[in-house]
Amino acid sequence: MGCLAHRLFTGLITVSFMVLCVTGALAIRNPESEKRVDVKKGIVAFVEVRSAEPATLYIMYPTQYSKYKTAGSVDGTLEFRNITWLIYPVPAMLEDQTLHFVMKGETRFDVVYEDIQDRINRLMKGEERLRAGMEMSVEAGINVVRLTPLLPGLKIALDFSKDARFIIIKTIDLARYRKGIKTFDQLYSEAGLKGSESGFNFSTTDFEDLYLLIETPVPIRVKSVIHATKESAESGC
Amino acid sequence: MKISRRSLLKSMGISMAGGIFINGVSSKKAFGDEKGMPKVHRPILPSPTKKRVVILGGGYSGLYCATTLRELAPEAEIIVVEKYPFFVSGPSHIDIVAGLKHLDDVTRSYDPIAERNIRIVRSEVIGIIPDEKRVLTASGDLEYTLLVISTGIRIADEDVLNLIEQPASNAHAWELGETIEMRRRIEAFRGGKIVITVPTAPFKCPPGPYEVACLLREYFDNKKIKAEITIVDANDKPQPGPLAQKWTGVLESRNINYMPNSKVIEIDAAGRRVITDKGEKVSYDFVSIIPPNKAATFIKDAGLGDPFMDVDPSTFKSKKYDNIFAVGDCAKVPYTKSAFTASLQGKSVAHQVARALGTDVSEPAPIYNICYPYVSSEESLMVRADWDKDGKMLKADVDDPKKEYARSRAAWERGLLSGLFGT
Repeated sequence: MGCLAHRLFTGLITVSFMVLCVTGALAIRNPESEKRVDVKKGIVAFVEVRSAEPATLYIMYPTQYSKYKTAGSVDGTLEFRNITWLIYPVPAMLEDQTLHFVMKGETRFDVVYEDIQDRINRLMKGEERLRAGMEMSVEAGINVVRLTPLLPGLKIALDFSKDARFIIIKTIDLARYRKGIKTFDQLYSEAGLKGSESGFNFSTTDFEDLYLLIETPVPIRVKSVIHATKESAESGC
Repeated sequence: MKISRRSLLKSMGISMAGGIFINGVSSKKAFGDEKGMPKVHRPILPSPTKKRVVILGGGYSGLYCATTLRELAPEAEIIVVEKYPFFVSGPSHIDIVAGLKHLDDVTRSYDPIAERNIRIVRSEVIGIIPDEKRVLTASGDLEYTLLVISTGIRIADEDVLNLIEQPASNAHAWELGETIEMRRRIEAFRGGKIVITVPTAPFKCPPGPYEVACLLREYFDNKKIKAEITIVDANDKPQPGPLAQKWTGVLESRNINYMPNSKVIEIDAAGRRVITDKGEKVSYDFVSIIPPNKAATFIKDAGLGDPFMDVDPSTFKSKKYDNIFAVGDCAKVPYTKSAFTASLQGKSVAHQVARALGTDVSEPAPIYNICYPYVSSEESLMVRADWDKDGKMLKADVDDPKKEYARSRAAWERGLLSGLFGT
């Protein structure tokens, strides 16, 4: 559980588990494992998945999970590849929500819950609250990492395991890059958000998706941590 | 008052031709000045002799603002600037696409509005000069005392590579002309792969793409036309988020493929495929790309906000100008971008405008949303959300698909229309 609890949560409720650690966290030792998370109306669950080695995670709604169990299909599910850390919020704004997490790899799994109204009140009073986060392994070369979903006023902290050259661009520039219309160097010369170091902090100004293009000579880990603020709450956090 | 399809399509052809001309030239290029200001001012109307409220956009929010303000401030001069010669109810775009309604059913003349001493100016807005209290339109300039912007969303085709260059490759239900074209293509469809793409939230009518997919599944099944329907969604779950679990079950049960977290960034019309941000290539026989939704470019050009207009959600007043307000889909507010909240926002801002005119009026009612997303032509979901006066969500509710909700949907839209037009 560690840093997550200290940074954010008002309470800790764990779901059914295999091994309960002294910290209250769940350590799942199987290379493949599943967890079900039930969230009551009015609550947001923050699911934390950690892995020493890059793992693949599938997030499924009940009907998708049934299909997975009967046919082994992960079609239509939310997939995260090569992750070593993930914070995924599951808000139950209007009704109870159930999600299944299927992990391929040795992972630790935690869930903490927060009252949505309390969270909004805290944000409106000016507190900053963890909203989402992800750490993943990227190969040597130029890699693309999507930073989403975004709202105006979010605070984003990027942290790399080694210095790397990076830019943060909008969708249309990603399309131009992928199409070969613009090179990384061209985009780097034009970009407002860029650097050549091991970290970067910035705030979002609108709803547009952003993409991190990162160039590294060796495989590294890329971490993004997103905090909600009063401004983002006013935009519909 | 309904108008005939023939006269409607005739007038629409004229309007759309004008739209292409205007849209093809930016306001700065059109007027040839680096600050986007016209070299020649050609007023549509003389300068106001009494307090003049100009409302940009004759959709639900603009018209409910105008008609409510007419009651609250009888002395004010009220002008609505609207590019289309007729009103079409936005929620019914989905019905039109699915063949559940014809354009005639949901089209109204602006005459009943004009009969309430509200002047309707048919023109397209090109720009605003806030410091001069002046609106620039394709027909000329218009001075205002107070300005309400309710122009809805703009479809940002430019955010999808090659879409502007190949507009004929796409059709969707988020604009009137596109809706008619999409219906035509659906009628001509004889089988194959249908791809519906969803932009990142926020966008107008969040359940809309999934409703369209469900209704098309029903339509093609009834016609015994083999259609493989795939939704390529930029979001990590079906929208609005609180309905995600219900939508996922609905889509599964209707054999509609779903690809979350896949944002379409390019169309390859020659190869009949769309390309996502992950590099996936999704082939299609018929594609409906819903590009990102943004506010009109003149809002950004005037420094009023980007991609939506910055307002105080409790007063709808611009954060930069005390005499400018914005409501509905073009405003950055926490309310759902739906026809229902747009109508209530229109009523609410009318109270704020009346106060700004010096009229003593009561506190406007809080905003809430209720809507009934289709899962088939006979069943709808129900979702309701309530906000306080500052835009903080107070409570919300959702219910499973029911036949009674499909009937409620019909009554819901009739109510919105009759509140403005009487029929």
